[in-house]
Amino acid sequence: MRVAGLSGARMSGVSLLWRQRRAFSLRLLLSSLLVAVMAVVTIVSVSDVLKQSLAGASSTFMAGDRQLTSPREIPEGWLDQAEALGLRQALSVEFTTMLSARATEAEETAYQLVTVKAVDANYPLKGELEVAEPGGENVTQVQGGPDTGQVWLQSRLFNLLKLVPGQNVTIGEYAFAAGAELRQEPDVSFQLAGLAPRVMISFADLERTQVIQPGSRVKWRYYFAGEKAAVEQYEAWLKPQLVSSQKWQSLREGRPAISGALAKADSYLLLGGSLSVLLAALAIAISARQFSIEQTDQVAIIKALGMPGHQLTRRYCTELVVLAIICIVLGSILGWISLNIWLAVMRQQSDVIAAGTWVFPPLRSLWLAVGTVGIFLLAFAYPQLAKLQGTPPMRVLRQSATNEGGFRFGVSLTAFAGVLALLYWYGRDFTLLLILLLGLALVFVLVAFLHFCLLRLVERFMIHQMPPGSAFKLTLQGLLRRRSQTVVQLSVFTIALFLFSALYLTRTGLINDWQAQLPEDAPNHFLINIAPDAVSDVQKFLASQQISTTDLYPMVRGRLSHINGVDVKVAVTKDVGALNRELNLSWASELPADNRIEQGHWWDQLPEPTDGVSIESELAEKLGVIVGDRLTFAMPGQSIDAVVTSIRSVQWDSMRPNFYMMFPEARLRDFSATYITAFYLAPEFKNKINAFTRSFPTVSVLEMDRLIAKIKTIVEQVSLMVELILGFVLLASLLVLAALVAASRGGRMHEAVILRTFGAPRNLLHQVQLYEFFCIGLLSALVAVIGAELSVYLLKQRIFEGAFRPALLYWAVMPLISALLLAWFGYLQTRRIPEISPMRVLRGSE
Amino acid sequence: MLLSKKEPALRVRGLGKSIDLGERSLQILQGIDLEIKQGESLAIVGRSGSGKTTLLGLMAGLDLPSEGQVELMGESLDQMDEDQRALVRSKHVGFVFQSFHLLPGMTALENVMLPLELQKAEDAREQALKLLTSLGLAERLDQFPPQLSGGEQQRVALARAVVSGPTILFADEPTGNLDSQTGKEIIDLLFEVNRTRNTTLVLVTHDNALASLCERQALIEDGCLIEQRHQRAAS
Repeated sequence: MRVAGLSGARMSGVSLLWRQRRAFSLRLLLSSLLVAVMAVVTIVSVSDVLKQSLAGASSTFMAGDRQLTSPREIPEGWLDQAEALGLRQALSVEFTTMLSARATEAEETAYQLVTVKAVDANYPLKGELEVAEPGGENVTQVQGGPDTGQVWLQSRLFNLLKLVPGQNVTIGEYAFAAGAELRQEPDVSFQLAGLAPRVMISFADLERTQVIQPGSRVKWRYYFAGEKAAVEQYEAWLKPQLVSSQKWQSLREGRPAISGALAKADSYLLLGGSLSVLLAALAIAISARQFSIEQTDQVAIIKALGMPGHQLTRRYCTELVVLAIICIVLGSILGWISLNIWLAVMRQQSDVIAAGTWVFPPLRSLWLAVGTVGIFLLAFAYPQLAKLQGTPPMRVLRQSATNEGGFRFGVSLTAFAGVLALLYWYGRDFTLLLILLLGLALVFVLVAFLHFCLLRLVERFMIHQMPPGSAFKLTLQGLLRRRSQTVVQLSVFTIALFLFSALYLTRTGLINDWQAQLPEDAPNHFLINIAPDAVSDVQKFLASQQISTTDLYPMVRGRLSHINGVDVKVAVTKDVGALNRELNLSWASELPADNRIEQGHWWDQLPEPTDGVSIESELAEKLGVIVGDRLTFAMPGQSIDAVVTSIRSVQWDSMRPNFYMMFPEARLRDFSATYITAFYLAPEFKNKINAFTRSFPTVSVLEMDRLIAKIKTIVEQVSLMVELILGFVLLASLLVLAALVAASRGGRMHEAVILRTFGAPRNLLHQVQLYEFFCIGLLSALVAVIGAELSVYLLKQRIFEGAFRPALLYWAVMPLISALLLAWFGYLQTRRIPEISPMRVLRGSE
Repeated sequence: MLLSKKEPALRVRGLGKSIDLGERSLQILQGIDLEIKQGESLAIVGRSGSGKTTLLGLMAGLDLPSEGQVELMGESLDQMDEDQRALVRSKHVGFVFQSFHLLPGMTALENVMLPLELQKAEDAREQALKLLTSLGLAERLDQFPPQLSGGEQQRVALARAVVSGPTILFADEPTGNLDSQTGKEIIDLLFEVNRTRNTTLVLVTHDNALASLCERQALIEDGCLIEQRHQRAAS
């Protein structure tokens, strides 16, 4: 039988979609898919742009994208390979030697231990090399090192050796002419071990010095820069060939402070992105099911009119494909727009994001969008619509005739596997995924348990105590009556709120942690090598300049030689950098502010602390040292033994002076020490540094202000990014909410109309709706906050590595806000229900 | 409010209903005058689309007329807003529908308790239990509507309609979804309520046999009351 208008085979998916465009459930399905696509495209793109820009900006602190450090020259073939991949290269050779100078023929030759850096013409590949006229104010940025025959020296050397420009200084066998003052090297590191004054020569002069002999301690540093893919390809090629004395440094190893902030941000982005995608999946599942239910009557009629089931399935499949195309195209466009809006906001905040025209999303984000839509529709929408094929045409005569398809384990398993695969593809972090899913499972179990208890309590103790016909009693009766629906609603709301809460709490924790580590006045200048007799003068000078410093820490040089009497070379088989050089040992009576005791006790809790040592936790782990172990340090002229009394965690990115080994004062007092301190100096007072170096020529000043400013910018950018993610999660949560309320709308309407027919006033019905959503919001939020705190605790332990603090205010505020918000949102969606004319009962159209 | 057998429980004067269709309006009912005495039974008959159900809805205060007045138990419905009419319905009116309209999430007992609870009756459960038992549904109290047969569902619906002791019972095609035997049982129950409780019965039906059991029949055609016939008193 063919019926006009229903000759379904010819009805395309497009026209079917167009006819159903007013269906609220279809609109919700469309919106949920759009949000999922938009979230995926925006988050992946923004994350990529941010990482690229920050990595690019940060690589200026490494003088290139990557560094290879080696104690000797590397094979030619390695450089040829880099060239073949189109990478730019530069080279520096660093060593410590004596520099001699004689101001006049009459004067004696003065000697000074210096760190020499010989650089080629390509140095630096990235970042700025700055020089100035000795004592001058004008700084010049230069490319490549000094000309042949010239040496650039740090200002301290000009002071120490009383040099003037053009004067001869000798390094090894070659006499150089003193040139400019070396002000800034992009890749100078904050290593207290190598703090001899620095000089720079041309690589072409290196051989003439004849300093480098077989066995000399020399650091060859090769710099590489180029396209990300080429760099990564080279990295993959080179790394397996490196020997243990060679170090390949990316941002992670080269700049732990920057890479630490980036890694945390990355984890957060993945978490947030996964959560918003998961929430959107939930909204899609609910709205697809509702859409399928709404289609049942129509399908029964069409089948009664003679359309075979497989033809129907084909039609709905075409509709899904059309829907998918619309969502992918429209969602990607929206994602592209939101990406550029975000970038515009970022550009106003800092110069990290390069100015430019519209940025296009990376191809990976578009593939992810296609995958997301495909998997979601296949996993959630297709099974629901395929089920329609089994709708009995008998339904046109008897409403109770339903499709007895039942629960399909295979379909559910496929859906679960699909979403799991997508989340893994998205985040590529199995730990994160595992924690996320465990958290969700925990919340589900909790919700089911709480719901069970609630029903019992309400049925046994509450419901009979309430006056009959009161709004609250009707509300509770309604919740009890629709047990299964209530379970679903509670569980889903809880999950949505849980995800939001987990993200919110992590965000607050992350940003607070970062800000705590790098407050406005975080130290950005370090004074090193302060002689004991200069300490008070330095303090007076700084006080006169109104500069407040951190505590002064003494430093004594010493090498760890034995662990429990066994030579470290034997006791520790791993290549631990701290064993290859002298360490800076320090003492303090109080635990430094940003240190935390993980095992053992600080001096004040020990009865006999005098022979103890406190060791930094990461080093302790690498060395396999535990509390109670005996360490031996080789000091100038003698050795000392110390028992490990505590293991401390240290915030290396706090930019405060920190030490691997700390002793009680009495233990190191007899050794000659120098002091270190740090302070914050605002950019406008930078000239105070010149005054300081003139007054204290022997004290090294390490200027870290640019690096710290960069880290701060990163924190700001990442905080903004976090807000963006939270926005998406909120949007997806609201969609879940809308989908759930929409799914229960039919039942609510029927009930409201019957109640009104029997004389229930509208006011009462409004109250019942409000109370119901309020109760669900309150209970869901309570469970959600508990689950979220547990997950945050786990996340902090495993991924973000921050200290866990329960958010007590959030515990109090969140349930109330959630209850009010849900009551308001539910009211908005259902406010017209009590207004529906009870005549609809008679007309049979409710 | 209780009226004597001779007082009208329901009075309709010049009742009309039209629907605005933009450029023109569609007249569904016009010029209906009708009086129904307390305890009387009236069948509204007519062809499909003649306006019977609209008339029932207006008389029960489910909708407002475009013109004319409706007085239910001495209270003028056309001057009231929806909530005031709801109050009148909860005090005086019971309904039985063709498709039962039981709430699927509630048991038979809970469905019957509903109108009593809306009236804030303390003994809603006891009253509903008693009534359902008297209707032979003692074994089905905790069953949900989809688990009941059509006849059982309509008996529960009837119990729900009369449990609060309405003075007027409106029934819209009460046997329309039932087989003849079950239909007869429901009819017997309806008239038993009418007789024993002195409940005014107003029903809309296509079924001539059912209509003929009522004391009076009102024939509606094209929205107008064409004829009123008096029958013998319901036995």
